[in-house]
Amino acid sequence: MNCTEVQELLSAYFDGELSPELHQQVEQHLEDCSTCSMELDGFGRLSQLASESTVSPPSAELWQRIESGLDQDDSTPPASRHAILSYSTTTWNSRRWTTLAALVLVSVTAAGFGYRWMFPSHEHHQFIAVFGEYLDRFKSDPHDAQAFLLSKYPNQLVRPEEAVDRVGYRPVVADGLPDGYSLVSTHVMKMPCCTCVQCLCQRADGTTLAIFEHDEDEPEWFGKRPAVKVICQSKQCALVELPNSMAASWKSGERLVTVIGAQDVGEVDKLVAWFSRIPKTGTL
Amino acid sequence: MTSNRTSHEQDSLCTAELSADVLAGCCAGDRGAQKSLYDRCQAQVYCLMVRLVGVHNAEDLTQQVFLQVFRKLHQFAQESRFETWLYRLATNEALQFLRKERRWRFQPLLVDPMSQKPEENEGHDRRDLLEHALLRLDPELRSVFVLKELESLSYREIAEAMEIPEGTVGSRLNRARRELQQHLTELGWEA
Repeated sequence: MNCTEVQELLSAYFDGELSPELHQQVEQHLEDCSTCSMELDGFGRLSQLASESTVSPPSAELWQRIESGLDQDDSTPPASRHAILSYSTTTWNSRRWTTLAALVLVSVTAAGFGYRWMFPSHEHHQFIAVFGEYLDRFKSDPHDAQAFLLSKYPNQLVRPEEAVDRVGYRPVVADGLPDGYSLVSTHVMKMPCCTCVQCLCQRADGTTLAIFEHDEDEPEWFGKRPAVKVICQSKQCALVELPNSMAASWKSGERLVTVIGAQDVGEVDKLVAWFSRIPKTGTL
Repeated sequence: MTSNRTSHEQDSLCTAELSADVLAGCCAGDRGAQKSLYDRCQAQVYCLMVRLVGVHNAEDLTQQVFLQVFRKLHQFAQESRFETWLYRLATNEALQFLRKERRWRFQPLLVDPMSQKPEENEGHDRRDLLEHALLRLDPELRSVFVLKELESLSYREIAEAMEIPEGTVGSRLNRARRELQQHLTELGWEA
């Protein structure tokens, strides 16, 4: 055997997965070849490092979250089954805020918000264009932006608790909003990518924020706009800079939450914490 | 308390013998049976997820895996071991997640730049290095390495879990080990 042949078999040799004949042939080569022997030693050192690896156990609340999802399954028809899931939260101290700002600065990348598209490319481009205009309008007049989006896609104004009949899960906003926010409207909106629950909310200062909750896990709402990824409340969040504000998206259980018009990372963190709270009940 | 999943000793917690009664109870929606299965397997699934998707996403993915387990358990044909079926389901969930993540094209930061003093960063723990190096690996390579080195699966079991030919396992492990050593070296690992 030559070095090329041996190196192709080196992992299988190291792991004891070769036949006795092949094992012997590799062994003979290794006796005379320092290059392959060194590579094998490297595998051994790596294995030693892996053997030192330890993992802390998951949080005690994990089963509670799973049970909530199972309760939701039990009370939801299989065709529209989506678990209500929630997560524990952690508190960010002031230094973490500074850190987060630094992370945003150092990790900016030109990646899109991008997920794979599940519908034809012409619809994809059209949707990106519509949503792009929605984002641009949102900056100067969120209500005009809302009217524009509603004019583009079928929708229905609902009470938050009514949304479950249309999307198959109980939207988080059905249990209220974080302190300092009031609900302006809730729509179930059928967009090309998914049917989502969209809430327009108002802050105490009268400014507006839009929250989309959707179960489609492959959205691409932001085209080529640059995104950054940060950790908020121990969850990965993608942030997209908008004129004078930002959009944020994060996975919440089996669904995605996307916020348009967040003022800063601190507000995103607050919303992630709120969306991640453990529900009072797991049933509808 | 921490877990080290380098031997099959803990596997026995999960698989040794999940009785037919427990499995049947889980299929019937019996919470007690489901909790029993969860208690036996949660450490194994959570450890796997920490290694595959990182600690920040591990609980979410573990949660999804168990929901899928209970939803799909009636499909489990007892021709294969429950453990193999569980690994396949868990690995699929992780790979789906990672393939989506990959499209974001972000590099994990090795060190939180504000939370540690520079001198503290220098002595980065060897185990942290492995975790960071793993996250730099392609998800398919990471999975095969984790299933072999940290979960101690055989090539046949890895092939079944990842639904790839058994002959592919060795070649992927070769690549995984070589690339991992390179990433570790870049991160300052001194073997």
